[in-house]
Amino acid sequence: MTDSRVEKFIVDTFLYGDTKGLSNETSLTEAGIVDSTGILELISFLEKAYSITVEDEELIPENLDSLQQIAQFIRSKVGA
Amino acid sequence: MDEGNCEASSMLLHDYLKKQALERPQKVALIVGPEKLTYGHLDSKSSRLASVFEDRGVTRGDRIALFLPNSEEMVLGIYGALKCDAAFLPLSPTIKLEKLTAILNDCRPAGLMMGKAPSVDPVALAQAVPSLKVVLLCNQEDPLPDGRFLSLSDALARESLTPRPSRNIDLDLAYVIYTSGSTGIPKGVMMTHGSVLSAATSIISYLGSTPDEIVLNCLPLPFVYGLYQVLMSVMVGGTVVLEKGFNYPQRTMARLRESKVTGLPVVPTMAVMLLDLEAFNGKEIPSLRYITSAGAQWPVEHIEELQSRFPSTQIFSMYGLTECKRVSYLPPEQISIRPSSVGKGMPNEEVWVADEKGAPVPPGEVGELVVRGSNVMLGYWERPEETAKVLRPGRYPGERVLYTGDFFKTDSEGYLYFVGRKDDMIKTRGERVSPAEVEKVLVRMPGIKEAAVVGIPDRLLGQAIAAYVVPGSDAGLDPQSVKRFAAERLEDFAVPKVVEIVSSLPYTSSGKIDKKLLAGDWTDNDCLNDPSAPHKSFSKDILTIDCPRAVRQIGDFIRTSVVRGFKRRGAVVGLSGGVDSSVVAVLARQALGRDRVLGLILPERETDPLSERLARDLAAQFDIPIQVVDLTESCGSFDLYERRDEIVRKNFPDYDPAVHRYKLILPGDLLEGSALNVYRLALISKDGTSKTKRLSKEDLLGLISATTIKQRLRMVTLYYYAERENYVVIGTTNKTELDLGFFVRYGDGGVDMEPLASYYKVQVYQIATHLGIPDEIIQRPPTADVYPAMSEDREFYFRLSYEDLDPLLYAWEHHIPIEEVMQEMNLQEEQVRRIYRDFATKRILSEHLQRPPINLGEEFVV
Repeated sequence: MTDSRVEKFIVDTFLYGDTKGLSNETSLTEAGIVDSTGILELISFLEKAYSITVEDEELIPENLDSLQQIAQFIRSKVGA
Repeated sequence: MDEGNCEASSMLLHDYLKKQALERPQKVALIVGPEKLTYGHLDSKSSRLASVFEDRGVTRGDRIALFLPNSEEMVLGIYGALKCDAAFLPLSPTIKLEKLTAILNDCRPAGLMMGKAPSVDPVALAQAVPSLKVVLLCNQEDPLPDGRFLSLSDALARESLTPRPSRNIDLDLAYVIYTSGSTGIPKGVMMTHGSVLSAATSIISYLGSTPDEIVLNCLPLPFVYGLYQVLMSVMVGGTVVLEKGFNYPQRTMARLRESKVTGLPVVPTMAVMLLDLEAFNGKEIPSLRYITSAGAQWPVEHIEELQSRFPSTQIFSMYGLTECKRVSYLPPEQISIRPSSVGKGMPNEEVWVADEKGAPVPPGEVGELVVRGSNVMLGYWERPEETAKVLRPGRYPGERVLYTGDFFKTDSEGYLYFVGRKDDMIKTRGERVSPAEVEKVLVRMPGIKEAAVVGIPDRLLGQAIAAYVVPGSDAGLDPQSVKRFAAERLEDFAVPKVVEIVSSLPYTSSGKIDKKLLAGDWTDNDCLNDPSAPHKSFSKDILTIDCPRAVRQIGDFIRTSVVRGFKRRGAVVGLSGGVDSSVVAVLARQALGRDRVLGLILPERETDPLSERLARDLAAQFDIPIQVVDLTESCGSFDLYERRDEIVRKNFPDYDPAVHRYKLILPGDLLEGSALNVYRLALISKDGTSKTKRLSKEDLLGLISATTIKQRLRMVTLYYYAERENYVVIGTTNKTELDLGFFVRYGDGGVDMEPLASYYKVQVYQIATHLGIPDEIIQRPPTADVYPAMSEDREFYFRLSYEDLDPLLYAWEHHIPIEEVMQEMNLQEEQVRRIYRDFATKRILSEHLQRPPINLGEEFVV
């Protein structure tokens, strides 16, 4: 399961609305979608949109590198 | 079931020979040189041969290897094998001993026929292949070795038995043909009688062949395109003129005329050579009913030329592969309408262009061609895994369809267009390029006769496109004009980066351009690192270079580029006190002389004073003229310091420039963990304590953009001095930095030449040591003079030391098996993969840094 808000943010911000090549499992860094600036934008979006704080040790690909991972990460943060 | 009743439906390949021998015993089946062989003789001789095989213990299901050139013996061997219920294994006489032994021991034939092969000793071969029960030597004059050997002439003279009646059905193997594919390990394609007959019947039906057919075959019989010329001719009762090969177009011309040939199968190279002969036209060869082409992509220009020379000859453009013999053909009447198409699936066969899941894609989209038909092979001999990769589940349970590994697309009417071999596709700048597409454009250039395009390893693009072109007789061809021609007709990324003019192209034994050889050429040459041992296995020391040689080469490069390329008087180098700029400056000094070099030392207020001192020491030691220009005021006039201080203060309100220094850092070592590349601002106070903070996107961009002002001001200064002196600017960026994007566009990346562009950082160190550059420079940790606090390259960008980074980068770029890398570097698989991921990401994200400006094409001008 993914999160439609995150997906919309990524598609609007990084892909200018073009969803080609983006699946739930696409690695956002390896596909060149998110660079070191983009990752900061993504983090700040997540923190605002879900009222969460992303800790430094949480900045790993397992949490943030695909739509699916992000959704799971948010669930774990919001649920906790 | 009573065998007699189903005779008509159980005709096997050799039954057709018997049928022709009964119906037309005197008809000439085969012409080889001056010799003619009738169906009667072909039948009786091959029967005798079969009985000899049986006599020597060959039984149903065995294989018989035919290591022979195109010859009567080869054809006898084919039918002899089939008649004793064995499958034949035709092998090109050009195969060398090692590969031959490997194939034979893979297929384990019971019988072998061979001619005089200078490079292969029959006794040694027989010893190395224990499965052999009988070895028939053709053209044997000397006494025979041990009991397994027999001479063909003795066999045919002495024995007059007939073989036992065939018990095979059409599910039994007719032949095994080894094909290398792109992986290099030959695999045996198994074809049953049923599959062969299915393919042959379909082809005969579209060619419209009759007993009057006279086919001239120059193609090797171990190649299915050649083999089927014989098999099909026997099926229809026609005649094959069998040539040993295609070396003398004049001789082929004479054959075409004297034998009143009606059908000519060609591969594109043959067509090119024949078209060189003026007499190769319809008036001179009125008997010629059709010409077929397969085996490789056929340039449209050749087809058009051929059709204009032969207005009343049918031209069939076809496509196939060993795994199913033939896939498609273009009906001759279509060739003027869509000359670049290879048509549609042949009769009794279904083909489609599939996406990754096997489903058909719409017209115009590229996908893999899939073939469904009884002509598809049974599989690869004893290779279930390789077989399962290409024969995958089809429409009905148990059915298997063939994935060809070739990319195609169709037009709106369903005609097929070859795009490229899946394995051949060149991946350059992240784009897929089909070599065939580039070749098609190149051969359209006047003056180019033939072209072959391959992907070669490239430090920046992943792969670069290299084109080999053969000029026509009268052409003064030069690489630049070829590139220009291509650039006007192809997308940017598809334009060859390297163009080599060659007198001829290498061919494989099956008549295709040997692209592996061409590409291999470059793997070797590209290996600047150690040209003497390009194939040494991977180790941590793989980047050890021959320093005197490297120094010579770089020196030559600098000298010729400055003098000839740029027509300037000398060179300017920025001296930072680092190892790269020191090496470049010394090399330029040595290559150009004292009066033609200027070292510029460009500190500003944040620069570590040590940098300036080291740069001065170097210049003094090597007698390099220098100029010191302090950039503090220039930077200040761009508000560099204020802009950055403001951002730092926003994040750390207690920031005091008098007490603190700061820098940007990435998370710790890549070997330790997989943290994302999130930049943090580190604030270090004089007492040694430090703290860090994650930045917002705006602050990160603010800091970086302010900092690049410094890099670009350095460049402005270098160019001022360069132009004043009529010099060039030499850059100091090395391969590691270029590959992974560690430079500033139009900053340190914006120079006239990069002499270190092909050398990894660790190799630059080797050169430095060799040149005698001061130890202090070599021992200093590699740093980037970007922020007030000293920041090492590894914490600011690479997250690895160069000692680990460079060998891994090499391994990544050269596709070294991961097990080797793990062992040599003493790393876990997870660590290696993590680092590779980081390489890939860095490369993708920095690729644009080196791209020249993109221009709007003329086609968009309204």
